[in-house]
Amino acid sequence: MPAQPAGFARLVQWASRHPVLALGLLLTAIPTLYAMATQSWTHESGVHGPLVLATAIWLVWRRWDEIVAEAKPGNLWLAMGVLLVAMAAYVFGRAFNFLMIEVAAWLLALLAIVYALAGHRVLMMMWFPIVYLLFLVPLPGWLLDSVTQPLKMMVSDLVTRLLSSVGYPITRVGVTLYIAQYQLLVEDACSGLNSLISLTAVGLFYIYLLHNASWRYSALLMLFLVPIAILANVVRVIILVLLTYYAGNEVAQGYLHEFAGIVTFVSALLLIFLLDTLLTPVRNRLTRKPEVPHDRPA
Amino acid sequence: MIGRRELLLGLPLVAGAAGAYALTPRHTLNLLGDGKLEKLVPLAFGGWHVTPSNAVILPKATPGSLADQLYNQTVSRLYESDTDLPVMLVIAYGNTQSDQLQLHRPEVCYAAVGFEISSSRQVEIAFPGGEVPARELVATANQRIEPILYWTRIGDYLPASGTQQRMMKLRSEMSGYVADGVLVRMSTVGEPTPEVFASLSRFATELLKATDPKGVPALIGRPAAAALAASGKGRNAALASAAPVNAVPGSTAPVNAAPGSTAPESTVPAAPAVAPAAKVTAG
Repeated sequence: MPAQPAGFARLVQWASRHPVLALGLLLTAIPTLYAMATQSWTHESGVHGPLVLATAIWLVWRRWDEIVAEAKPGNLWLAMGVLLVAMAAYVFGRAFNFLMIEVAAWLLALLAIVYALAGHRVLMMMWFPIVYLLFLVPLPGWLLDSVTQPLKMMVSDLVTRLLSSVGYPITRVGVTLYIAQYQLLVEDACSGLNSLISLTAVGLFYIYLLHNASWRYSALLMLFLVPIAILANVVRVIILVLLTYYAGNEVAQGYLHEFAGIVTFVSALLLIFLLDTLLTPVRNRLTRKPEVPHDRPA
Repeated sequence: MIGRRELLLGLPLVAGAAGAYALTPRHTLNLLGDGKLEKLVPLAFGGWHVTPSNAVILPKATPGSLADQLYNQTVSRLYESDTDLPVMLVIAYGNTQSDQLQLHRPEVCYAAVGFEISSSRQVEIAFPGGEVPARELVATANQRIEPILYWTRIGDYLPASGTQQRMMKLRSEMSGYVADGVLVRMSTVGEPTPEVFASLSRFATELLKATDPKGVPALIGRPAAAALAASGKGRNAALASAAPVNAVPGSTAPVNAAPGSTAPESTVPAAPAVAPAAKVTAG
């Protein structure tokens, strides 16, 4: 292996050695990136996209030397099989505007190519960036809607129970809350689904960096993320209900537009960190046996 | 020094990019043209007449909101009648239907603002010359009960469910064009008796008969519009009569070529969190 050039030069060098591959990757990635930037990243459910992409690239970048050292070509025919399936899905998703399929298929194609060039050991070593990149896959609106609705019901129900158990005059019909003379509607943002996805991505990234957590521990934490998002949104709605009750509608609306989102996000993140602290013994057990050396090469 | 491995891996990528480019729909189907629904849908017909009202609350919220991006034109009116029930009419038209951005069925909208959908069944709205597949809903919130009758159109198709809507969107894209879409919703407040639904259905029929022929294809698609025109409604229905079923884009007038129009602005709901005073929205 020749001396490792640094930074961008690596990419150029790689591309000049693999012109067809580089061209193919560019031709497929650029339209997809453009579609993501215009259709997903500009919306609440996809705002984490650029962040995920940049940090994933960085995660790969910082272990580049290890990857080069471990690289051993995988089974070409297996890779080809996966690649062909992925490209068929890509063409379908891209041409007919199913962004979810398009992005997922492109990631699968990338996986097949990395496997063909660098083998399964590199894939296993890079399990985290691979899983992490799945957060780039945008979910279509109709799918989000169908998941959001039950979450909203649950949040409304929890808020009503909690507040009435401590004596507030609150009742609920569907997702409409009635407290004293006020009537509040729990809207989509309150289900926390949109923020949940961003939150999961940020939380996982942080915990992975902090502890070099094993995949088992990360999976365990992910199981807790739905309850955390619900809880964070229960907090959000309770704050709004109480503000409305004590300070009136205008104050609550002011708060709503200025702070509600941030408060939810921060409280959810804090809940994740709290959970992470509480689970320290579990984490130690699950991560005791280091699978791969995670230290940064010099 | 391009190796076999690289060719085998790189060519599918290049082919994929080319294939996707080739298959991407190049046309948009716009059945409304530059017509204005506010003008095409009459203010009085079949015994009903518009009454100024803010009782019908629209999905049209602030600029940049979901509704704002989904729909280019909306009509929202309260019609009253001396002999029949008052009817709230909402027509929401979107010129581009994509996966991220397509018209919302009232089942979703009403549920999103706190209504519970207690019944939903597919029905047909008869008009001279044919019928429109539609859906009857009963939405309930607190003391308010809204019987709803609505239909949707995607291109020339009239999907009667969310799944059908997505399939028909795909079908039009596979034949090379991005379709427009419309939601036509009629509702009233009261007990959901068969008589009430019959009244809504009668309103729908009268609406179709009274709408300017230029606007009918935008409401029910060209095949149904042609059938309505052929049933002898009038001589001035020339526009609809020429339209073939499943018209191939480029062959008929309302299809506008729009190269590169493949990535419409998308959205996922970004509504404010808790809004005061539940309002009847729909979209």
